[in-house]
Amino acid sequence: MNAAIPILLALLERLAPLLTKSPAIQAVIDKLIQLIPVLAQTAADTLPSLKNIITALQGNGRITDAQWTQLDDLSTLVDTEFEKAAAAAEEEDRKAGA
Amino acid sequence: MIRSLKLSIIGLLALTLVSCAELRNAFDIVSESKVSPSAVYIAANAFNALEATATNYLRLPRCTPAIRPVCREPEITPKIINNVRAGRQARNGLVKFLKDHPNELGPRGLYDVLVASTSTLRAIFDQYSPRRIAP
Repeated sequence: MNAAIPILLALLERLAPLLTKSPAIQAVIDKLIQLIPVLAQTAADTLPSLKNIITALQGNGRITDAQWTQLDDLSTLVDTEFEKAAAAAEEEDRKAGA
Repeated sequence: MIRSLKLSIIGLLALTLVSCAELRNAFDIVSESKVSPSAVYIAANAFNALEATATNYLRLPRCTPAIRPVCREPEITPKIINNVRAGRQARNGLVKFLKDHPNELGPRGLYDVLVASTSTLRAIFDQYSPRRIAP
């Protein structure tokens, strides 16, 4: 993983609650849409930062309903990684118990 | 691969310990029945870190009598899964409430579920950190 990515994510985490303009918020959301599918697969340790950025933006009073929905979809995408791991572990345990 | 997973887990556990202190502070700003948005945000961040730790933990191979550097205990797997799901539901409910009711305090019940899930997960990972299994 590029070493700059955790720094970039930490910066976005700090900025997310402070953004006041809808285009700026949308720009961050657009970047998250690009980053999350890649990072979820290749850099699982960045997931907390990604979730924190999503949570911070969702708590930003300036976001639109459409943006909130976009963030909710991204949040689900991150949660999906947990569900995939859970399903695989349960399947492994089921086979071992059989 | 295993080393990378181990490092990720150690990093996330360290992050979780930092979040622990923040979570204690969050308790200070919670009333009897309502919680402030900042308390929700802090609790959600603490949970997010543990959700990622849980994801990495569940990706580990199941513990068996064979020697492995790190492994997943099958006995605690259902508990981890249930707590992450309960915490996630509470976190999402709180975030949605704050969106629908800007500038209002959040419901204490969901907050308590979120904090309880976080505490349980932390206790599990304190006890069952990935370990070498004796042959």
